[in-house]
Amino acid sequence: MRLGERKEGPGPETGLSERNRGPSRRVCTSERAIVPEFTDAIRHSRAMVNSSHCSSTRGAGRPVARAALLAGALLLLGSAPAVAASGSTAPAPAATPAASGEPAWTENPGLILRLHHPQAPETETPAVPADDEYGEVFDSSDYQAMLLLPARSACAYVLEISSLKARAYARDLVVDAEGGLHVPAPENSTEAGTARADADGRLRLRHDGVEIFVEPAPPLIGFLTREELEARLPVYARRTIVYRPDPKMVALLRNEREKIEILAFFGSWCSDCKELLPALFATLDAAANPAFQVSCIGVDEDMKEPAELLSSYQVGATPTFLVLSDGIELGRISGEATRTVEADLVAILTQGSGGR
Amino acid sequence: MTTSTRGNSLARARLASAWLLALFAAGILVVAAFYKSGDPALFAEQITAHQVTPASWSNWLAFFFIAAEFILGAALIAFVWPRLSFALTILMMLGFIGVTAWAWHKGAIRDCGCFGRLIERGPREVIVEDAVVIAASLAGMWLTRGFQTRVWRQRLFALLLLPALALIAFGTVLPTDALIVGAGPGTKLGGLTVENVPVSIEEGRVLVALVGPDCPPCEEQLPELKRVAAERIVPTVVGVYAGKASEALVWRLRNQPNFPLGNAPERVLRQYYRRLPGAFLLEDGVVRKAWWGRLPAVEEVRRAAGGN
Repeated sequence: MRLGERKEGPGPETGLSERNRGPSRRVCTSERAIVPEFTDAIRHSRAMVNSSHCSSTRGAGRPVARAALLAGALLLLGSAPAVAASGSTAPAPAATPAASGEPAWTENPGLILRLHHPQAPETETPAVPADDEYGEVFDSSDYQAMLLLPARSACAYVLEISSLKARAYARDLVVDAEGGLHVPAPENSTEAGTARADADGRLRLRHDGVEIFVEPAPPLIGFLTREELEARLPVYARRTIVYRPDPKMVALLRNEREKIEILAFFGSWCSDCKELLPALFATLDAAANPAFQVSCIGVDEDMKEPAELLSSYQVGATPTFLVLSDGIELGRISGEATRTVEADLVAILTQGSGGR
Repeated sequence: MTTSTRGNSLARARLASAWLLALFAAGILVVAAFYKSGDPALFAEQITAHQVTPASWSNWLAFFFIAAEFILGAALIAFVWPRLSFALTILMMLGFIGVTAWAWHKGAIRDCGCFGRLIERGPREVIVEDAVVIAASLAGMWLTRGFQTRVWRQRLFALLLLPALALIAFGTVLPTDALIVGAGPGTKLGGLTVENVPVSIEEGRVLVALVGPDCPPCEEQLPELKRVAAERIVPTVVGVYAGKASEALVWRLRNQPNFPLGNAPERVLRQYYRRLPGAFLLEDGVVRKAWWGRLPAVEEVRRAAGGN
């Protein structure tokens, strides 16, 4: 399993990874979370800036400052062992699946991880509740355990399905510099309590003051910025990074001069959207043409909400990308791409400009 | 003499034409009733989906229409009281057109399951089809003016009612799943989209197990399926829960399957079974073997998968 957003190249990631080839026994507690959070926040914010997507750099910057202040304070208070334990000197690399028979982890596309930090600062992105952080859920190869991987927090958790007992690992031990997932031996973890299963289909775990929820991803409905979407569903960011659009098509898109608006109707529950929308994002990233603007519109499973937008644009399937110029539809990609997203987009623009 | 003979020939031709029209209308009615009788619960759901009558009426209406179609079909085949039969057929079709148009206008339906899952048709096709039956029935009424039903036809009608009644009573338990559901071996399950699983059911050899709520056999027979997954008898086993993702998670926590469990809205998945559980062995999305109303045993899967 690779996490694409970790392929940002050298810099802090490589450094972190080298440091992490490390302690044979590192554990994750709230105190020890400080420095990983700090380093991870740097890595996160840098990734955001480099790739020009994901949630606002403003939002990412605050945790950096906060974590730096906290780290400094704790160091002054004598928490150095914890800092060392969580991040720096370290022997033995984490076991790889091939080497240890450790189970491979598969992304569970239907569940999201939500961490409720009671004292987190407010964000300015309305789609992301102020105190919540999101992450991904992975299943073990035998589907008897879940790996809960927050987007930023210092801890990752492994939850046994049969007992609902959780163990906490230092996140940077679980995710390597190239995005591989490796869950170390249990002695590198701490007990993180037992989750409770709600009757309405939600797992709830409390660890070090953080409420951790594993729940089915609720459909995202209405307008969302790309940043909001990627913050809520990191899979979009991951797949955007790994998609390689056709350079010829990208070159053609780069030359577009007219202002083009793309309304991307998608379902957060829709598997095809997780292929096509990242392809669109990656194409536009590669074209780096400010003439293109994308607005994402989440649609519910019954294709009934948002009713006004669905009916006014006559959208009946997801994904549907409407390509507009001056509010006039030039064409649309609906359901699947005829060839590729970038080729279809070029075709629409070519036909559209012919007709203009 | 010659005029009389010609008159008789014309009368025979007129009746023969009327009977052909009756057979056409009867064919439509009987085939529709046969598919509905195989899964009246699905038909009741479709009636509810039209949002014309209260949901509490749906089961009764389902049986009423199944019986009415069988009876009218039998009457048209036997050619008893043909003008009355044609007239009732016209009334029924007008009713169907009205209800379909109303539901279509309200956006309550996108397709019609009147022929089970055999033929997927939109409301437009349904209305056109019903209009054709009305036209045939009108012509039949005109051609059968002055026709007297003979006693033998009434006996034939009574005889035809017997299998119709049997289908109404026992249609749900007859082993006609492959026919009713329309997903027998060789069928491409193109329309089945399983959400929330990390694998595609359209590639390679996949065992798809259908489970759902209020289904004790789903849980009782799960250990065999777990063995299939554990022994990797087929490369991929996927469970599909008929319901919401949250319900699927609850089911997963309770039963701990050792394979991915996705979900599909019941209204969508319902097209692929008459009763739960069920399973399909797929090869690149095409049904190779189906198990209806149960999950397969290890040896059954081994045999089905091995006979390549």
